[in-house]
Amino acid sequence: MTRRDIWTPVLIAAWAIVLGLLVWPLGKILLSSFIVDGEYTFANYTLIFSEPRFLRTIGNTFLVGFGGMIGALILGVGLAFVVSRFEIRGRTAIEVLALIAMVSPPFIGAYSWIVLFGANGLVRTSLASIGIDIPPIYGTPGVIMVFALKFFPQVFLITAGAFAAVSRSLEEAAESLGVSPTRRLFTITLPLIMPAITASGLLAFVMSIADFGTPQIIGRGLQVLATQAYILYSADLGSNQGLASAISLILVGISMVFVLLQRWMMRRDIYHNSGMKRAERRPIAGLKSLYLHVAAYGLVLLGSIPTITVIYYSFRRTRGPVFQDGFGLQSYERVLQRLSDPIINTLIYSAIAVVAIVVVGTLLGYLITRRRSLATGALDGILTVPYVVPGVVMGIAYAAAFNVAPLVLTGTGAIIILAIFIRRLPYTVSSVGAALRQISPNLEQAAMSLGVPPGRAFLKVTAPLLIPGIVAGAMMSLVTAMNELSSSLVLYIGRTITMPVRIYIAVIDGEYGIAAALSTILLAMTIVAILAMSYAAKRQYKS
Amino acid sequence: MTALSLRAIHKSYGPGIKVLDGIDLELVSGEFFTLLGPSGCGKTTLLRIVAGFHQQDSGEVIADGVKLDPLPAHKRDIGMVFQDYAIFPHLTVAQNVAFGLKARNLPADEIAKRVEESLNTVRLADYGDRLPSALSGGQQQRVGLARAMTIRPKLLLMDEPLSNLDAKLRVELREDIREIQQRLGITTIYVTHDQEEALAVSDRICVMNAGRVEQLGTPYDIYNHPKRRFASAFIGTMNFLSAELTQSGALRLGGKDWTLPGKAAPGPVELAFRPEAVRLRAAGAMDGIALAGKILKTTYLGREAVHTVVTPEGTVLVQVASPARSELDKATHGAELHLPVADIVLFRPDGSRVEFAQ
Repeated sequence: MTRRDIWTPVLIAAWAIVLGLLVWPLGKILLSSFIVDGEYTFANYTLIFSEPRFLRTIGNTFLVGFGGMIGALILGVGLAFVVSRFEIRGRTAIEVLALIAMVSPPFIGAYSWIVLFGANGLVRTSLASIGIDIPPIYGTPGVIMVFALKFFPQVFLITAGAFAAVSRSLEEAAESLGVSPTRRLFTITLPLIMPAITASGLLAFVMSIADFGTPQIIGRGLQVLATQAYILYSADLGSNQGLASAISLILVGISMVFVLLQRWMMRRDIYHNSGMKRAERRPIAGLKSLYLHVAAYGLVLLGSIPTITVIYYSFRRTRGPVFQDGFGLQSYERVLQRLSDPIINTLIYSAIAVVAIVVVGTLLGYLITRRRSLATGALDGILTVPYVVPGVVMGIAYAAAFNVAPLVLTGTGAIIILAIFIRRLPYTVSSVGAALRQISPNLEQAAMSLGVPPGRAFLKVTAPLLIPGIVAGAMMSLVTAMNELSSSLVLYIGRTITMPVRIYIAVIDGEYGIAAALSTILLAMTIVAILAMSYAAKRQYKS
Repeated sequence: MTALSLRAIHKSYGPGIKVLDGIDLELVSGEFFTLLGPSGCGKTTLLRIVAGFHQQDSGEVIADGVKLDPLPAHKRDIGMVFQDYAIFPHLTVAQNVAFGLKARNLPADEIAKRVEESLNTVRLADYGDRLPSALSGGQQQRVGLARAMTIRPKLLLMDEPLSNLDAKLRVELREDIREIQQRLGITTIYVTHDQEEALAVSDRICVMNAGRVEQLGTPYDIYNHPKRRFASAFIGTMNFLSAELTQSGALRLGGKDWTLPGKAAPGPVELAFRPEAVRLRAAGAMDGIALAGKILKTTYLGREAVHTVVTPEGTVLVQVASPARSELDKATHGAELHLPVADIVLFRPDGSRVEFAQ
């Protein structure tokens, strides 16, 4: 039982937002998946589960999902272990390269791999000329490889933090009990960071099955649920919204099952570290040092190859869509002459979305963390939904929900902004929540006991302490908002096209020069945002 | 004069989880009042209800004749000192202390004067410009104290303010708190689970257990005249032996009957006595209850030694003040214990004390 104060209207507004922007659109496609020719039926679902074409699609989805997850886990956990347990020179460089690999849109990566390892790929043809034949990257193995390289940085960043947080005393205790370092790794360290491993593995799985660009560009006929839903929805002739909705919901359902599975597996494994002593990095020398450095740098460089390739090609001389020998700025000239709209749209849309995310996300994060009640707990639960709803699905849901009176938003920039807003809102809510847990609730109560009302206590005490966390979250939202492809692709019309959509179209149309130049500009904007983020994160208060 | 009245305060977190079960307390103006009890006894919840951070399910909080219940925390004019200090890490020491004064829209020179005064009182006059991260735990808690008292609240609440500090600092700071409280005459409620701390600083102690008041009294009363078994066991060390009150009004212990100063209803009882009440003799008769036993071990604590003595009726701790060297090597020796009847207390199985009719 709490008194009514400023937070009561905030809670009501929060529910209005969640109901209007999340529950309503998803409810709408849930409903339409059960309608065929105006009648309620399970026909769409029975069709999907009986037709071999769709069953193959579901099988493919699991295949690339698990493949991407396992690949990302092996690479990410391995790198995290090496970097957090041994003296590796230039750790910051490794972390920056990992971040770059993480934030570049997946379809840029896919496109670069084609440039290098496709049928006429640079690397493939040069290897062929010296007698080494490797198959082109297209198809399932290529998709899995791209996923592994695309998503391992996520695994790396999450598990590196967990490795660092394992108390040194625990490892020393194991050692003093006569356990060898290898055994200690498998019996003490890895079990302790298992929550981080499963959480990051889950993330890699969910992102792999939600990814739309990679299978579309590199899959060459490989259909997964995300691409299938888009094709069914966007087909000029015979667009089947009901079937597209059903496919979308199966995709959401799979993600949801795995999220619940991970939570169930980890239900008891919460470890509290007290009296922490940070783990030590061991000095290494000789051959071992060489191997580990080569492995660590090799991996992050491999992950950054797509980025480097794109930058390189953006500066190649072109004539029309064809690359010529030598370097030139023709691609950039064409982008600036003809394609300034997508750049401006991207900047405006992401800026508005991020401001809204910061304001709403901070208030929601506070409500959920500090004002626990049934209403805020349910809000917290509902806000996990966007994590498992792929962009394509969110796009389809928005197109279905906001094309009838009173809210006709289809074809406007607003619908693109709202989709980005709801997709990225949970990240800021949870990062604010995490930051809040570091700040004692007593601070605010101290302010109140000194005579400051609750709203002002939040603004004068908690908000200033939250700012580094809020800024970091905001920059992350900005980066992902700028790179948002799948929901925008469903929702854009000519006027409201964004950079990622334009890049995607350029790749599909074979205009690689323009794609490369636009990608490089997007990447530059992204890096600026990351630098600002890490600068803000460094300015934390010590308490 | 009554500074604060708590009337029939009830609080539960969901059905069956009773935290406070009807608390009635009256605080005298200017007194140092301590809520003492084990963790989970409801003492912190009660403090937070007074502060306005929790709301009771029923009952009233009245300060200086004004009902506080409808007022939110920031309008109650009650200062609070927190266990984790709750010093604002982004503000300097002086800004922390000025925080509540600014909320009261005092003129700048008045604020500056009162900040200086308060920092002098807690001996942090030279620390005004520092950030809290540059301060030790003890210094941070001094800032917390200065910040709370500078608003001249009608009531000062302290929630285990010393439990995050190390032992020596704890003793030092508790003397400071007591001294400042007496000088300013602020009515204070102090929450702690440390019985020694409670005995050292309080005018009155309220022993709490499972959401109820077990005993209310001066430190001397609480220690020497416990009214219930819980209070006697929680404060200081107490020996307990099973015994029986006979029909004739004697105490039956170890197959023998001992004469008591008065009569009480018969039944099973627990015999309770402090380790320092026991007299240790090698042999020979003395007044009071006698018990034969064997010394199991001796713990030397400098100022005193404690023998663990095994008797047929149970294990008994015996404290010897300023022990001689020869006292320390008595392990495995036999010992005869004597309990002056005036120093024993009897408790019924329901925890209440046996009262004797003369």
